[in-house]
Amino acid sequence: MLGMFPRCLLVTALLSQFLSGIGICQDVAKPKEQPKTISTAIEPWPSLPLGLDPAHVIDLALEHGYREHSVNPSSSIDDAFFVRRLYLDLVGRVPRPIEVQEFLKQTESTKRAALIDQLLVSDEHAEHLAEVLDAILIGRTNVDQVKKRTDSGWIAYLQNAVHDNRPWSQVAREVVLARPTNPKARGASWYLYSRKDKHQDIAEAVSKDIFGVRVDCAQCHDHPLADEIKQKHYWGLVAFFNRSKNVDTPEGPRISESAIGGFSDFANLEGSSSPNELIFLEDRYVDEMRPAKDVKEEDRDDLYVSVNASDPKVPKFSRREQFVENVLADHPLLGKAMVNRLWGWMMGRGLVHPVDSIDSFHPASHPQLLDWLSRDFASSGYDVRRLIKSLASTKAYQLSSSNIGNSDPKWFATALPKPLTAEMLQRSMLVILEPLNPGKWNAIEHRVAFANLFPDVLAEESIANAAQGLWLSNGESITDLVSVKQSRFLQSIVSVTDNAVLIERLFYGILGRKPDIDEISQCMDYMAKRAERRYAAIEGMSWALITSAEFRFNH
Amino acid sequence: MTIELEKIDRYSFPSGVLDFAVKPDGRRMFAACLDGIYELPLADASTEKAMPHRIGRHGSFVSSVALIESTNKLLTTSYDGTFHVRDLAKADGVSREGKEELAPQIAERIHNFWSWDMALSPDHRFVASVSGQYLVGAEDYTPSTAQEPTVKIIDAATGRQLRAFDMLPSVQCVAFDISSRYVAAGNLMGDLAVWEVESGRQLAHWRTKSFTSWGITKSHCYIGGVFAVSFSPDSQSLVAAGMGDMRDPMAGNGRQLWQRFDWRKIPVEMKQETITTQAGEGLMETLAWHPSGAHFVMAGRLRGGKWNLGVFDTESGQLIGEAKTGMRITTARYSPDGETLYLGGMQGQPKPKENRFPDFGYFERYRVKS
Amino acid sequence: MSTDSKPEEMLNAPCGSIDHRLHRRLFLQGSLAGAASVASFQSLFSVPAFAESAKARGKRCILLWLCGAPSQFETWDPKPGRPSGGPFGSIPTSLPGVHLSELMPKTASIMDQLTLVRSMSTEPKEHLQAIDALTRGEAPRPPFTRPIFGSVLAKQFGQLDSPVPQFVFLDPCPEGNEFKAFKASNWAGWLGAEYGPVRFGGKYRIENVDLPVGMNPTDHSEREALRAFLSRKFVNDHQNPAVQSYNAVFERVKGLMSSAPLFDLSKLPESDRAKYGPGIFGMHTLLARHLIENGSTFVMVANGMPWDCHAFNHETHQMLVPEMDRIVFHLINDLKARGMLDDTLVLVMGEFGRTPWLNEARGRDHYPNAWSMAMAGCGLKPGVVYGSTDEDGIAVNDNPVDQRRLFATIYTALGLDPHESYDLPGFPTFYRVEKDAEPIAELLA
Repeated sequence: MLGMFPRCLLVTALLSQFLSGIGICQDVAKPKEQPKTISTAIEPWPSLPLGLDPAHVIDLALEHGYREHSVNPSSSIDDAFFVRRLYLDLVGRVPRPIEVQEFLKQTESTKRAALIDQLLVSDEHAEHLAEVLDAILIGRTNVDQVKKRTDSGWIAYLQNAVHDNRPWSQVAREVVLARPTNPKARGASWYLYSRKDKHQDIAEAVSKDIFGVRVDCAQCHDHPLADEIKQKHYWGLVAFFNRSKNVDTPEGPRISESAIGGFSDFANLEGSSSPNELIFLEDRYVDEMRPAKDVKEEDRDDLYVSVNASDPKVPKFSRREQFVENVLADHPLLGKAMVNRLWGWMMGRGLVHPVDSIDSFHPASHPQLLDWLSRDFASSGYDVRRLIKSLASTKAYQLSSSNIGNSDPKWFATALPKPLTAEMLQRSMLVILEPLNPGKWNAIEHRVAFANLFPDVLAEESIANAAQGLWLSNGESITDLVSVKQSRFLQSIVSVTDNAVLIERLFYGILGRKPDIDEISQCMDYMAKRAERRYAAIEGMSWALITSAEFRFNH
Repeated sequence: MTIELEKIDRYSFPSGVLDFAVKPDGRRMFAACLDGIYELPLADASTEKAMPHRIGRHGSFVSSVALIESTNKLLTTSYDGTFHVRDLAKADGVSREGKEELAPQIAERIHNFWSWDMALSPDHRFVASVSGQYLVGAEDYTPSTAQEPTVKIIDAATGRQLRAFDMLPSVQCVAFDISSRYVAAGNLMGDLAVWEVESGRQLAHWRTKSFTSWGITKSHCYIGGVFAVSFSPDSQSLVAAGMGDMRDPMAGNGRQLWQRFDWRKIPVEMKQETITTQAGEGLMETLAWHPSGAHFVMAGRLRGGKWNLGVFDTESGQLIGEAKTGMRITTARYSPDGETLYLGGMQGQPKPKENRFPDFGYFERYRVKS
Repeated sequence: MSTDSKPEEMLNAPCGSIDHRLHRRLFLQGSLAGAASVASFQSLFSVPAFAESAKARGKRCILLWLCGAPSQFETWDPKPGRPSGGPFGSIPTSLPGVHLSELMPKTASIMDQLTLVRSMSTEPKEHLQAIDALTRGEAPRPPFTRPIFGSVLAKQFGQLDSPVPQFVFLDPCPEGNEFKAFKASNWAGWLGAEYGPVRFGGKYRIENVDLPVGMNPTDHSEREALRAFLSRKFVNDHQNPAVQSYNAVFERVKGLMSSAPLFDLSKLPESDRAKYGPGIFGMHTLLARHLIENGSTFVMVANGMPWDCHAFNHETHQMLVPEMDRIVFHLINDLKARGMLDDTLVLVMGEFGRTPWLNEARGRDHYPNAWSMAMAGCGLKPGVVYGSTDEDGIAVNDNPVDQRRLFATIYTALGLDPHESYDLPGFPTFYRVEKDAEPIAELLA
């Protein structure tokens, strides 16, 4: 049966069959309320097989949404827009002029796909995605902690994981288990170690980062807004980690685990208490003998795998190992959280938004699509690179971000402008202006301060503040950066005597496009007023372009 | 050695029990409750369980109660800042449900703010009461010094003030040593001090930072502090109790913590504290030494962990007994023979049912088995 | 709707439908009118009448935001001696028959100048949802982000070209997860980022307020004018809160540079600092008074989340309430002494109340069913206590007030029509206050 249809038609047929099956086909005027349960309660897209091209499935599902909600998608972007957008998303900086020219002059119809492939295997991609993952998994911090992340091997670990395209399930397993078995993975321990033995912090982080669910609210009572998140899940997740302890070994920071203890009761606000059993979302459960009330547990060598005193302790029954084997492995949220996060990264908002709130209070905009993509991601072996490539290949990713029309952003009918992260902004500024003293910008103190000034990474909504405006307007570093004295790029154009040409070179260099007529005339006026102060004129224009919203956003 | 606690019985009170005193013969107890002073006859195998009845009131929560057996006087202090003395000779067998309450013989206002805690000296001569309102004293919300002395020693018989000491508010607990020579107090900021009653001299003053949290998570203010102090039977050391640093000050989730100090050393030395692996989380509010001196009890709330009452070996500091009582314990006391442990406390206050707030204060008796 | 001609090339944007062109026109109308909002794709609503704002100009508001939610029992609605009443007594006030908690003697002495609501009854039980409801007036209805009322006032009363920021948010204690989540949200909503707050954290110093070395003020302004010009098309084409807010911060730079000294509390008299301080909540309230005196329209002083007393309710309120008592007393007195109380509205509130019952951790939990809030000044009848609760404070006896009626009253007191609509064909119609909620006549002067 399957073989009888051309592939594309098959998908379309299956999709429409499915869509009518759940009653949101085109004949029905009003969309139904999204069911308020976690999606695994429904059989997701039962008739849509795996093995289809995810980009194609995404296109069809979003187009269906456009029709259902009577929104018109914006037009597709041209190559010049595409190359900037893709460089920023995949390698974390704007393309250099030469890279733009290179791409524009290619004529093959497959050149966008080729560029995606090329960037995804680059070292810059590994460095960039590792930075993003670091900011998500551990967050913004101070200079001291940033140094430790490098020294511990954490950053290198993430870079290797991206570079080798290691399955996300393995990476998640390694950071949560924190028992590296080879030197390449030694940095994986830092994820837990950085939480300084605070087991609740660990639980809250693991839940948010690995499962895409915030359980913080369930500390004192069942989650008030999402009933599937219970207080026992919060304390159950804590229990999986509460025998763990940071230790320093010759190989670096490690997490030992005790074979005993960690049995506790948690009290709700009324004062009744319950035992903290090893249980997490979906009631995934690990059986463990609880010692009888009056029995005092005894810590003995035979409870451990290794009794070598210099090794971090590994018990024969390890709760962390039980967690990765029986809770984490193949948990539907493991894939779903990553799919939703990478969707958010590429598209500007998650199918569930904010991206780390996959619960019944935050229904997905396209729940069946998210389910299908999550299953597809799992069946691909949690192939992150394939997922990013699929997303970048969709029509939705390649739509214009200009949104003169109105539509709810959750239908993805226009591309959403994405603020550059601090790292992306800094790298892009440096790539373009080529300061003589990049060392100053790359100094760790400067990078950390900059990251804390522009801290957002995949924020629910990124709202700028006055401190940023003041820094961009009057900060010493930015003044320095756009000075002719410091910028190789500006030095390379000061000798252009034709002001119109100079303005065009500035626009092209900074924004990657030509100025329009109004812009040229405005800049000409600006220069004319400063005919005697040519450097000041050039610096003023460079500043205006480098601080423009057009530069600040990936659009 | 392990100590086993076997529950004998439980009595309920209309509101929370903050403190209690049991007659030496164990036949009757008096409770300081949120809504007044209660009397309760205690049952033995041959009698039926009685109901507590209110014998008097203050203008606010009654925070402490003490009994002078020889003169049959009941001493109480309250969050209204007053000290009351009642003559129990007039109460025995008289004040039952529906009968008139007992008026105080002495009613002295001794503080402008709460009496957080009161202690009667073992020789029954002195009463120590501690007070102090936490008011903002600096940009970071450290407490401002008090307008009046926060630690007061008064004559147990007359209510007359004998001594007054200054300590930074709020002073939350007070205790005499067994010789009635020394008195100690602890406050919000983890300050501890020991005075000699007779001379009024301060013999030691130190700060432990282990009990006080500053609310970085939610607020700029201090919270927690020392909630119980108790001298060891040899008077040589002082134990303080409360809870350790809280990750989220509004979650009440600090470690169940005691620390034992050699207060005669200069500077004062911390000798022992709860062994981390043996403690859960929750505020500890009371300490009681077994008459043998071999072990002591610390009790309070179970927020997380396995017990809300721990028995600790005096010598080693090891946990040698525990209980989970299903209520927040505010006071623990041993009978004079050390065979019975009494506990008072409360659960969370339930919502009213049929226009009445259900009982939520409790008194329990346990048989102590070693 | 105006039919003025507009630059045709802008109308020829590549989007075909009539609806789109219509939106586009309204948008242009707005932006050319100067006072309009251009904030986000949701922003294309008609602009409330200019006449209205002219009429109401000069009104100001200070919101003391008691985040985390204080206990009504230990403040405005004491129930001494009741099982729910807690340990504190009550005291008479300058308003015969009205008692406040004994923790508030100073405010009690000026009770005749306050307007108190003791019958607040709202729905959301969790901080984030309740803060949204009590600052925006309505639960969020994504993607239409309703502005918080500070933005509404900044827009109605503020002057965009004022060097002093019109909406200032003082945040002395920036931690606290739920409040942080609220702060990360879009405050100005469909009004547009230019009506969002200028925020200041724990320290008063503002950085980067001096001109870059060697640059004169004219160059600085002209450089910014060029930036604004070169950004215009992009910003117009991207009706997105992040883009709009980015652009809007540059509009504030010049004003902040000139008004930076206003934020320097060391320039204020020591006697003022002594009255309000030394706690940082008081210092920020003093700053709020100072900013209002110098031209700000709306200043919100958040108090962190210390009121969220799930543990140690009484032990924490013994400190927090006297501080608030002193701050409210001095603020009202100072505004009055300066003749500013008549056009300055002061609001003192949190997002809900706290339970009549104590939990096991000595705390009171969230309780939206029956709680209190206080106001004073501009357009309100002083010395009124509205509504009441039963003897244990469990339920509202009479005249329940939800956030809609509260906002209807606040807007009316300030001279704004609570039923003003934000209307656009094809979109749901939004009102400044939904569901035809009526202002409370008894509270209005």
